[in-house]
Amino acid sequence: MALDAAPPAVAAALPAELYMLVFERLDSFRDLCECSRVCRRWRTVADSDGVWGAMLRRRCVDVEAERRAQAGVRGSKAIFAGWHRRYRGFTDSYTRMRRVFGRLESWAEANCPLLRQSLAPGLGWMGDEPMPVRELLDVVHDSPAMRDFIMAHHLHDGQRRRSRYIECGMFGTYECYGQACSLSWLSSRMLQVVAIGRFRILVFALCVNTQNYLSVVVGCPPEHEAALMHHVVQLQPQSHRIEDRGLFGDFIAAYVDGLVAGRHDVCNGLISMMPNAGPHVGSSVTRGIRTTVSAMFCFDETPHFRVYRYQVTFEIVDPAALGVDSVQLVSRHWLIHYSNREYIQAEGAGVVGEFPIISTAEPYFRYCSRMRDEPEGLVVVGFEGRFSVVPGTIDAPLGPEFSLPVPYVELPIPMEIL
Amino acid sequence: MIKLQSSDGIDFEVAEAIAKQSVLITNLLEDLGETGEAIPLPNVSSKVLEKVIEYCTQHQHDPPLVVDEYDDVPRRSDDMDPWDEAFMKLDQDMLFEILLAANYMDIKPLLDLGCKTVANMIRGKTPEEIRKQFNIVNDFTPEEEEQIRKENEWAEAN
Repeated sequence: MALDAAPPAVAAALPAELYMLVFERLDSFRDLCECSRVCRRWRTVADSDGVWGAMLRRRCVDVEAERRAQAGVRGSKAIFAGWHRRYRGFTDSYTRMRRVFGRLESWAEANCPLLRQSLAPGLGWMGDEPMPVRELLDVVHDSPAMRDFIMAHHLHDGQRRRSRYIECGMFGTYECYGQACSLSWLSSRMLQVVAIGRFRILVFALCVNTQNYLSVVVGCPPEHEAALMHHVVQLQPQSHRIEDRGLFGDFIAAYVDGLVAGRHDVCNGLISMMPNAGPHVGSSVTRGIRTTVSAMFCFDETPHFRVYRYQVTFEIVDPAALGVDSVQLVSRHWLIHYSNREYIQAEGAGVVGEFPIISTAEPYFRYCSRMRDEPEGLVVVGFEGRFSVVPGTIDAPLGPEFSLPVPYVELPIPMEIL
Repeated sequence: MIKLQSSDGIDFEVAEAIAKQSVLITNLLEDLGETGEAIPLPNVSSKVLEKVIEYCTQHQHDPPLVVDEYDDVPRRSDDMDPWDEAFMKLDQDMLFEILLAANYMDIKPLLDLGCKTVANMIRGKTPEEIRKQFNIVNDFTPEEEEQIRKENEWAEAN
């Protein structure tokens, strides 16, 4: 097709509203600035509030906050320019973290109001006000990987605790000996760098009861540097075992995506740390009862063994398929697999000392328990099993016992960094 | 079948599913009912209408556009459908004519595709290169040029 031979008239005749649509599709503000230098007609559209408003929305800029910060500034392009100056070098992280936190907030609004209430706005590290944690910037240097981290704390300065013991952990909660253990987001005043062996970590989330940390590796021995530097790790200082969660931006985006996708249950207004879908979960539905088993590595125990906590949930999802009003749990049968390809059977009556009844009136039962490696050095890698239940109750059965199977659940094995 | 009439008086007969990708035609059909008479499109020439129908025929089974409210990042040229990309290899006049027609006939996906194509032609170019690309005359005075350069200074530094 003879491109050069085409007469030029039409480009100039395009109405402004179509130029507007074209310019709104330019994702780089630099391209937009270049457009404003082409000719008078282009300039009118390329500098317009409509086009720059779209740019501000796309970069998730908090326009109200910018208006407050840049008193007297008018026009979307000027607001964008001011925002860009203020966050120079951090604009991509700004957009990414605003999107993540926006998503988290709207999810929390509907699903976990406690979390929404506890999320305090940021202290404004990027502002002119003194930053209480300026020295932390020395630790993170100008690492691109840490910009998301700094930005997340700029936008959200940790979680306000409602009371001393009842917390709503942003990174989830689990029951531990009757106490709720929550991994809460620390305020930027409480961020600190901790030395663990040859590692230095920047702690940003903490469970007070169990001393579980979520932290970012900011210093480590050379042999780990390539794999772990600036990665988010979950750990408990005594055990020297860690779970690598990737770079901060990826970690928090994946976590929020998981929440929105329903990967974690919300019970009594608290996010369950146990996943209910994805890896390390086994689920089955038999005769209208769904049995879900999730496992996670636990950091609250001894440095000698690995300890896993697992959670079992029974729920009647289809009363018609069940055919009776209730069942009672009779016994459990576990098959625990070890790293040397051996397994042992563990059986017993009931669970956690109970014989729960699941009925159409109370269709839900959940319990939590734990397992650990064997002292002889055997390492647990996974488990499977089944529960025997009887229709009706044990005292008044309405039929023969049947099994609720638990498909194989692989355990999340941590790294050893000692 | 629906009859469409171009500005130069040529009738095109197309299936309803194809014609109804145009919101303009959908609305007209709702208002007027199916009279069997040709719907006049006084702003669209037969050459352009033919291309528009080609596009609508290709896309007649597409699911409606879904917008993710959290992810309004514009889709880049690299995730353009290969058929669309080939379809958009047009001379510039035709491209702009199609843009105008898509706007007038209110065919969102085609309008979007056309705008994306033009945006791709702008991306990464200097003002001078853009002028050359679209055959535009620079009507700024040197003073104005200097002032605009200053206004955009913030965007230069990283």
